[in-house]
This record gives sequence, structure tokens and C-alpha cells, in this order.
Amino acid sequence: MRYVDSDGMPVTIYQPNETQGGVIWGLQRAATDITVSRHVIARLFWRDFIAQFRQKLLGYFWALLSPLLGIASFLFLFFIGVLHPGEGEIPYTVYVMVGSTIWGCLPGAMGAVSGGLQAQADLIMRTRIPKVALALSSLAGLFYGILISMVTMTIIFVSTGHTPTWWLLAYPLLALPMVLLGTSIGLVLSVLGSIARDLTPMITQLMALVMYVTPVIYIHSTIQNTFVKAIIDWNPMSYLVDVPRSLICLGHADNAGVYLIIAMGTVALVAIGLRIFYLLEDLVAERL
Amino acid sequence: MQKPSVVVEGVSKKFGSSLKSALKYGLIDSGRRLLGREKDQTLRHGEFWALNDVNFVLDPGDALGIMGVNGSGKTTLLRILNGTYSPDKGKVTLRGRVGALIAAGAGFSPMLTGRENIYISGALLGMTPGEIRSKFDEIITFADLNEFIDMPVRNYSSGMSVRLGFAIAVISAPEILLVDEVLAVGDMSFQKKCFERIRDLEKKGTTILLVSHSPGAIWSVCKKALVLQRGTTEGITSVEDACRLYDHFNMLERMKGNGRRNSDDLPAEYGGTRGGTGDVIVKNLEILDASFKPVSQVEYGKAFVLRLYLDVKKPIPNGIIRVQIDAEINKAIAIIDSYEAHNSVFSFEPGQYVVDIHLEQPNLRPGVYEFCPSITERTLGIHLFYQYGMASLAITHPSDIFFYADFRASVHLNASYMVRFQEGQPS
Repeated sequence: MRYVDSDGMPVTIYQPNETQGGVIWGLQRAATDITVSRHVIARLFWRDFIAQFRQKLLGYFWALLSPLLGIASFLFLFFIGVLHPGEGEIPYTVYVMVGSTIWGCLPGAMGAVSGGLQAQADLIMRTRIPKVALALSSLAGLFYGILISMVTMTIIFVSTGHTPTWWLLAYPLLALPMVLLGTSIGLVLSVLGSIARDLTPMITQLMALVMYVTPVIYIHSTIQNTFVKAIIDWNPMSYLVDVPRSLICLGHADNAGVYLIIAMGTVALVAIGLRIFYLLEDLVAERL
Repeated sequence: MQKPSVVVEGVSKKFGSSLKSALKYGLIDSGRRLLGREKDQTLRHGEFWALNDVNFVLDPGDALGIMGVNGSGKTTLLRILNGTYSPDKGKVTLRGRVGALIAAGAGFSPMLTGRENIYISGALLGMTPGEIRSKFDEIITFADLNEFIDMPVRNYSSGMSVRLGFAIAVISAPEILLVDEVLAVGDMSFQKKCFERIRDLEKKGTTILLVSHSPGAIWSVCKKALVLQRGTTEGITSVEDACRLYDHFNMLERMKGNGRRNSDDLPAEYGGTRGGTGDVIVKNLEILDASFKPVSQVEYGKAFVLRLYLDVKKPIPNGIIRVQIDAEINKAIAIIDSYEAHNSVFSFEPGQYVVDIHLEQPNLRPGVYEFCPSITERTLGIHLFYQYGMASLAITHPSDIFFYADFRASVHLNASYMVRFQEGQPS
């Protein structure tokens, strides 16, 4: 517990079971911790961003090159005819590229947040930075990646002779529910994964499987199996991928209402994730 | 009346003694908390108290040394004070901004320059960008890195890197400063500067908590100290008493490693820990106090007796009894030899003998010593028997002399000092 006393002096109290508030308390505490640590989050992002481009031949160009190389494999498989996904309203190349970019926000956020504490173990052991700030500081890199992917998407659109809609400018907002979902899972994994080390790889593998029941690289209408079709329909991530993609490529989307409901659900999941994080965070340092 | 800056009330912390128990209890505790239950404050199988019911209070300007042998709980206490660990029982109240020299150099990126790293490390230590800018020149002057400040840190020597980290941490001027064994960084001039800076902070009212294995470092900074032993403490005492107590615990810890090496084997060769011709065997060596009670520790300066039990197998007409004393680092720091002492030899017929050697004024400094008996023959150039480390004794601190200078030294020489101004110098 931290407060400022009547003499204007900051007072810090450490005692057991001090994180026993509710879900709203977790959100308030996170807001305070992030506000207090905003300089640290900015500096850590800046440090990691700058350091990754130092002493490299292509320097900052890597920021653009890496995501482009990431989608090259899908395009390669498509052009040599290995993939026969069927053709929908959206050209397949663009369909895969936008879909996989949106999907990438989920494992990206999950990995960044869940690995945030392990990656910053030294800072946890030696400094007093709130752990939630360290867990969430890696998200700064993800948001930077989202901005870069807007550039790569534009390049792909233009090079394939298509024009994105103005919704592309809202891409960071459209992808936000996916980021929030990844963050909520990452928050829980960042603490539980420090106790049982195999939990994070297990969930990461599971997410890779979930991608196959989400229309990321195939078109929903081409699926014949009714059971698989039902799973895809009930899979909330289908809507988190499909609705933003349709808006960006076509300017309209079915199921926009479902998307909004699920998006609100991801906000609630983050609140729950934060609550669990604060309940268990002190177990982390003892196991690093 | 000023308010205390650090209040530690009944603080306890437990850990699992193995990875398996840490995993098991980690999952159980996670489940408990998710169900809304409080921490389990009992000690479960496979757990131990790293800290148990620690209490103390410090006022602004106090400097407290925290001492203890390895595993005593010093680092755990410091980590609780730093907010890294949460206590399982008790409460810690800190009034003022906390700075931790354990965080010196935290977050440094080797690819970035010293200048860039100052901003990162400063932020990690809780400084705002404005504060870092205002103290920037002071930091690089303190670290003595003016001309190298725009060089990548990976090209720094280890000393330069540590100096920079330390300078950022120490310039942040907190109300409470946690220091963990990091005063021994950089060259001697830099260490002097660090000590001076810490003394300055202390004078300005910063509360300092210094953890160190070095009684000299604690003594030079702190007036009071507490000694931790297996997670418990008797509380704050004078720094001199704490140094004595720490040294005492340290010796007991070190004595645990001194196992007896008696065995029935008696190889007729040198090079081992025990050997001889078999003409005589020293069956046991006891250490007794002045009232002839067996002891394992004796206070500095007090008399003690070495009692040897001999089993003589063959006649020894010109026997010499010798006991070599080994300190922990230096071997053969003293020899007690019957021929050197009295210019005489002993004649032994086969049988059992008891030999008492009285040491009236031993000048052994506090520490752990091993006693190595041997029997030689005046006219033979070999040992009839020898054994290293047959018995050990801890010399404990006296109440009237404060030994702190160097634990490696074994013998104390009484000396007098006379200081006078050298003639012919300008005054």
C-alpha cells in the first residue's frame, strides 16, 4: 500500500494479503501502477527498440522488413498452388495477409505479457517497479508493431492492385479486442507460468491449434464439415478476425454487433486477468 | 518528535526447500488465493522460515548494518524492504522515497551509450526525466566518465560500468537507502568517494540499511547493527557487539565443516592427513578450559589445555611431542614443540599415556583453528605419528577488545603507539 502522509512524505506499507480487493480494485490499482511507471515503460520500450537496430546493416529498415518476410511464406504457398482456399469477396492474398496480421495480435500480446516478467527478472529482483508495469511494458512493442503492420498492409494492397478502405486507419482500434484477449491470458500466464514453467508453452501450443478453428487463412464458406463449421461459428475469435478484416477490405461487415459484444467481453477479461495477476504477483519473485 | 522512517514489525518469510515443494505449494497457494482465502501462515512440510519474527525501528539519519552468515536471511530482509518479496507475516512501513543500491546498473543495455543508459537506469530508480536531466552532470562527474559518456556501455571496462550504475543510484538522494555489499566497486578512490557520499546522505537524514559480510565496511558506516542467524535476530545492538556476534556465528558455521579425520588406517608415508611408523598413535586430542572441561570455543586471551592420549606400541627413548596450529587460511601459524620449549625429550615405554599441554597466554585472534599433533624421535628424521586437523577450537571475541581489521590475521601482538610530528616540516 502506498500513500502520502500529512507531512507530504510518501509512505509504503508491505504486509501479507494486501491485494484482496475486487475486480474494480484491480483495474484502479493497475491504472495507478501504470501511471506511476509511465516513464519506466517508455524508457524500457525505447531501450529495446533502439538497441535492436544498432550495429545492423539495414538498421531501422528491419522494422518494416521483418513483418513483410513474415507473410511471405503464406504467399509462397498460395502462388505455387499448395493452398486451395477458395475465392471470396476479398482476394485471397489480401485475405490471408490481413487475417494473419489481426490473428498475430493474440499470440503477440499473450507472449509479450506472459514473458514480460521472466524477461525482466533482473529488474523485479533489484528494483521497486510495479510488476504489472513490467508485464505490460512489452505491449508497447506490440503497438508499435501494429502501426508498422498498417504500412505493410498498405504495401500489399497496392502491390496486388487493390485499395483498402478508410477502416485501415482504424486498424489499431479494430485489433484492440484481440490485443486485450491476448493480454488477459498473458497476465494470468505471467504469474502462473512462473510457478509451473510448462504452462505457458502448453497454452501457446493450444493457441496454435485454435487458429485452425478460426478463419484466418481459409474462407469460412469453403468449410463443408458441419461440426467444424459449428465450432468456427461459436469461436469468438472468428468474429475478432473476420469483422475487422471485412471492414478494412470491403468497408462493411456482417456480425458487427457480435464483434462489439465480444470486444466488451475482452475488456472484462482483462479486468479479471489483472485481478488474478495482483492476487498471485508476489509468488513470482520467489520463483524467478 | 520525528516519525520513524523504517518500522519492521514481526516480519516473517518462508520458502520451499526444494523446487518440487515450491511448485506444489505455489499451485496450492494460487488456488487458495483465487478462492479468496488468505496466505497460509503455518510452516508446511518442505518449507523453512528464511525470516522469523524480525522487529526493528529506524529514525531518519540512522545507519543500520545487517550482518549474518550465508543463508541467515539478510538478502530476504533487504528484498522485503525493497518490495521484491511480500512478507508472509508482519508488516513493514517505510516513510520516504526508497533508493536501492542493489539496483545499481539495473536495466543497462550494452548497445546503448552511457548517456542513454543514465536515462533508463534513472527511470528504473524512480527518477523523473526532469530529475535525471538536472542531476545528469553530477552523475557523470561522480562516475568520472566525462569523455566516455557517449560511448556504448559494452565498450566500458567492468569498473566503468559499475561506477556509472553506482553513480546513478547514489545521486538519486532517497530518504531510505538500501545497500547490499556493493561498496566494494571500482578502484580505491571511487570506493572512498562512495563512502563519503553515503556519509553525506546519512548527515542529511537519509536512513541507511547496509548489508555486508565485511565487519569493517559495516563499522565504518553504521553505529548500530543487527545480526541475523537462521532468520531470527535479537534486535539492534551497537555495531561493535554486532560484529562480535556475527564473528561468533561465522566461526560456529565454519567449525561445522571441520570434521574429525580419525581412522584406524595409519599409512607409513607422508602426503596424507594422517600417517606414521605405528610405534605410537595419538588416539585423541581434547581441548579443555582452565577448569579442565572439554570445550569447542574459548574467549580470546583465556588459557586452555591440549590433552593428548597416546598409545605407545614400541619404546621411544627420545620422544618429542609437537602440535601444529593451522588457521583457516594460513597453515602452521604456530608450533608447540616440547624440545623447543624445554630443550628436553620424553622417554616412553609401551603403554597408554595422557599428556597435558597448558597454554597460559594464547594470543590467537578470534577465528577457528585446527590442532595437528605429531610425535617425532630426537635421533630419527621422521615422524612416528602425525595427523592434521585432529581437533578444532573457535576463539571468540573478548568484550574489551574489538577485532575487526582482517579476519585472515591469526595472532594478536600487543603494541603501543607513539605519534609525533616530524621535525623540520612546515607546520
